[in-house]
Amino acid sequence: MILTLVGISYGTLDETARRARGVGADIVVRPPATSVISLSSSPMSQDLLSFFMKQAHVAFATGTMIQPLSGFDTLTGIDLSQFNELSGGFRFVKGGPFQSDDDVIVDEYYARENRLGVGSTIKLMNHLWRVSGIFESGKLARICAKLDVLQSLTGNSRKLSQIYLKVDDPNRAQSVVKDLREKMPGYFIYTMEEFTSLLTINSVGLLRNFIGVVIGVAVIVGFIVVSMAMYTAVLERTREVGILKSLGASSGYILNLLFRETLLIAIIGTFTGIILTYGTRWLMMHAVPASLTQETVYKWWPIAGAISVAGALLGAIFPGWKAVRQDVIQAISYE
Amino acid sequence: MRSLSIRVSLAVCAVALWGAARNLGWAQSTAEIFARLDQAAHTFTGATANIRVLTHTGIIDENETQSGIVVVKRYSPNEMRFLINFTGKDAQAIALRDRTLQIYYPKLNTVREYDIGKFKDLAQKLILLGFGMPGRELAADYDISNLGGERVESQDSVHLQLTPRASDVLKQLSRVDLWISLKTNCPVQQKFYMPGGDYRLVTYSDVKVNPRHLPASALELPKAAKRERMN
Repeated sequence: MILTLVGISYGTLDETARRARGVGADIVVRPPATSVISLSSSPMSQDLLSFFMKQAHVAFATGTMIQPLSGFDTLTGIDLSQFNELSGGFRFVKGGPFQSDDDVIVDEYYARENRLGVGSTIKLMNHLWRVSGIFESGKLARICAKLDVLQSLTGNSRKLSQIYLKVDDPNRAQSVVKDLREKMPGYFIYTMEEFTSLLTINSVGLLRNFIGVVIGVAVIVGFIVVSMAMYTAVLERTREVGILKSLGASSGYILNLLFRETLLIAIIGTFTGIILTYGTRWLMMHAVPASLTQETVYKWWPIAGAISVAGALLGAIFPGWKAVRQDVIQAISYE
Repeated sequence: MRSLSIRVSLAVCAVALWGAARNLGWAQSTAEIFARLDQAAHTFTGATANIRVLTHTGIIDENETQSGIVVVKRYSPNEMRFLINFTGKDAQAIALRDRTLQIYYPKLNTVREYDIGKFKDLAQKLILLGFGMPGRELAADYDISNLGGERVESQDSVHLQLTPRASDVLKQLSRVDLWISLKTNCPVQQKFYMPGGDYRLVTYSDVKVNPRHLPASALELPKAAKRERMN
């Protein structure tokens, strides 16, 4: 459970970073953190694009509008011709660009998960959209609509959530960022490398807390299950423990026996868990490829193993202590 | 001709002196203003007003305006609810109740609901800055300078300059200018200054304080709209 949930957390972030890199921009501009006053997710003026285009070494600028949907999904508004100029264009697997205002293009994972084909309709934000094209995954977003249409529907004319800049020489990105930060204090301006490096578990507070809770729950559940299993095992072997003690087995010997058994169960459980993560990964890839992306996070294998072993050993303490304190006569006569 | 110019000069001086005298008349000490606000907050139950929001993007010197109506209602000493209904091309409505911020998109006939949790107090205090807010509460959150009396939107008002005390707020909001009407003790204008030269100027007109009949339905978004819980 720990490995699967950690894998989903890492997978989701890495997939987001991969799609951000797929945009082909060198710099990302995000609005100041004043949305609590403006109460808008798209507070930047579209006219900022012409300002950016006038800046030294900025070769191209385009913006997007992002509207959250359920779960991790978002609907992203793009100016397709501008976006193509920035990124080199989407590679369509089926269909093609927007034909009408109510058209969306979706990536192949989203299409597969939602069984969409070219010409299918889908209801997003209480609005009926037609799929005009399905593109190869890995660029910007999973679902894109026309920027001006999304702006109009949400009452945010000429407003943007994010701006992407391309510079004439990628080596100059850092100096352009420095220059822009001085001119626009309060705005979040990053090179693409900085931006994607921010997409880590530790920098996303919600995910960090999520993993903490998952580990906590897994340890508690593991502890209870192992404890109950060992307690039952000791009860079932009361007579055996009595015989062992009557034959002169010391408390240390019996505890050693129980602890070794627990350790073996924990190690087998860890390996089984690792193998099962490949199963859940396969399942997610085929059942919900757009919603959940699971990665194999190797560095978490020993951590999960240690949690499993520690939980199991802790769970064995009480039954072990009870076993060695049993009276030999009572134990042998136990039915 | 000469006597005419003397008479015009005298008239101009008289008008200036009259203006200055009026200005002095409005001028109140900060303590007096706080006392007025404390008293007004004590009896505040709600308000309605026309609202105009001008958003200025400093780097490109661009202004964008939205207008509509605002309804504020006090439900408990610590809880105010509001509805801002923007009209026009970019129509949308924003309501805050408890911890839930609701945004209504008329073209989508959808209300999107966000649990703003710990930001609830901040949103309430900033958006409703000056509405039914005691002076001591203002003084607790801001360093205040009294800039004297001014006439804004045809209303005599006192101009306060607020600097947030909390460093995390100060990073996002350098200063707030607040004009409190001497007649209603509610804001006539709020100006929020962001770092980097952007600002948001909110002007209230036709403010009705403690209206006799302000039903709960006045703060509700269309019931027929589809509800979407976002977090």
